[in-house]
Amino acid sequence: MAQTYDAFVDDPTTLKMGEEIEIAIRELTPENPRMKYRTRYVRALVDKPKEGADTLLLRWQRGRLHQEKFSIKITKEVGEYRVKQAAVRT
Amino acid sequence: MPFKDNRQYIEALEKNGDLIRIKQEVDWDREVGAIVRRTNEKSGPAFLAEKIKDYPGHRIFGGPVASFRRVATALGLPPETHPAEIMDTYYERASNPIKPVLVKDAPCQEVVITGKDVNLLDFPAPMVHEGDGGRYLSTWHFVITKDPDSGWVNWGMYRQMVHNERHLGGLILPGSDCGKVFYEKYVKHNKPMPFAVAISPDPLSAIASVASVGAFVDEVDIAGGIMGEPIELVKCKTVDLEVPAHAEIILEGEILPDVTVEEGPFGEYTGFRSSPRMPRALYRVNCITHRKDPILCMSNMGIPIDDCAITVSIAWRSMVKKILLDIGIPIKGVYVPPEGIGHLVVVSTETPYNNIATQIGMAIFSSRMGNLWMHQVIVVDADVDAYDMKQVIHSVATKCHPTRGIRVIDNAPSNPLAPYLSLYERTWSKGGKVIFDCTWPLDWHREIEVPFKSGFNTIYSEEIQKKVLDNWKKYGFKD
Repeated sequence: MAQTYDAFVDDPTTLKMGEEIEIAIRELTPENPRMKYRTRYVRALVDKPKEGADTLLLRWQRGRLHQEKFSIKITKEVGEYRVKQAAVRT
Repeated sequence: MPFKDNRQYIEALEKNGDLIRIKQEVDWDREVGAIVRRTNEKSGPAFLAEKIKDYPGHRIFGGPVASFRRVATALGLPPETHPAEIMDTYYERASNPIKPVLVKDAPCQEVVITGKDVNLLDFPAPMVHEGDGGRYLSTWHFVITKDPDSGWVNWGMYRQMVHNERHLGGLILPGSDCGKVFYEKYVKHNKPMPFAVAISPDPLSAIASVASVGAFVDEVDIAGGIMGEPIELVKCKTVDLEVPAHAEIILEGEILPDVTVEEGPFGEYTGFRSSPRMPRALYRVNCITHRKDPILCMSNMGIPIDDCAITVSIAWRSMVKKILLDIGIPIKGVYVPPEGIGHLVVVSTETPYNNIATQIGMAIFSSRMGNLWMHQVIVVDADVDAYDMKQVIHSVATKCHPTRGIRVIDNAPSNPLAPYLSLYERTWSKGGKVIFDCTWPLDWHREIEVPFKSGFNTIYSEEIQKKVLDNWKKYGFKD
């Protein structure tokens, strides 16, 4: 059954369709309702909506929902967290 | 009698008419958050939701101290006590700290979960606001950490978002007490920092955890002073820390130095969702202990007035009062109005010399809390009640000269959650401060230049005032 996820991005308009990206997604339709909003780091192909495919919703960084919907195909689980890239101040 | 835990506190609030019990099922996914938000905005009661969707047997206590009435109750005062008296009571008690006592058995360890059984999603962590970055298990709690060199234990209310079953993401500002120890003593040496979290602690311990009591001062001592008796602590099961024995839920684990998780955004205390989702500190939870049938306490930060606004109004005012008294300012009143969410301070003072308003502002902005969190100081004359915003706004509108009465300080540190800062300013702590001097200049001639105040108590003779007051009810007025 097709699943729905969402993710927060800086600018949804800059996402390249059909390219594999690393992204933090949240589960919105898990079988166990307690798992809703659980985060996973994955590599995935994001593209225009496709019938039967999993759905990806996007939010701007402060939470506003983007109107467009996308399809997502998860290719690999990356891990539970990211290695620190630089001194993050906030 | 002080309340050792939230269960006693809930009963007292219900008796005073300041809490209702919600019997119908509520959803942890945004509904319970919306209930807290609405009751806060309507200045309504706290609530205990007794049936949570997907979580049979769990309960949520919303809005624990979102009114001065509730804080009065927590302090053992009548609920209708004036805010000034509440704040003075807090100030007096906080000035007499009491060391905690260690107990062997504790209600917070009635149930112990370790290893593979640890699962944060076994608790009804709410999705507090629509569009938040995740479910915030920790919105009314404090994170307990220890300086490895001095042994100083810090309590601080730093929000925590559920990342997955065993991990939380959280905002740890470098300038915070926790941040200073974490970044300097652990991250620099690539070592994990042990932590514990007390979720749903008693109300006075929670308020004390928000107070900025200074480095090397333990908030638990202040909490004991406010409570009037030692806080009971118990040793954690897996880390070298002690936690309040009567908290509902305890998390134990480590903050990892070299990894991050996406955290936020979150509807913040400012009433806006200012900061974006970003890589932030990762808390790995190795052990959970809790009371049987735990009650999760939650606050919902947003436009004031809510738990955060009331808490900082009381705790930070105490700090400001001490700072000003210590430097000899002849203050009449100090108020951190909850509507100003800790950013705004009002000081009523005698004016023995010109520009005392500047001195007051600089003293506040140089302090630990004022440095980051306080941005605007309004100084009014001694005849203005600092707690009466009608009088304060009148002072600003009539006595603060639009140019020479406003002192602007450029390039001052600022907290990254301030909504008026640009993204760049927020990242690099490039803020500002302002002082509104609403006092009459001393070099004005008192009779020729200083305007005469046109109020009942000032512009009428004592004879006329007495006549009117004696006849007030006879005129037909009820009050």
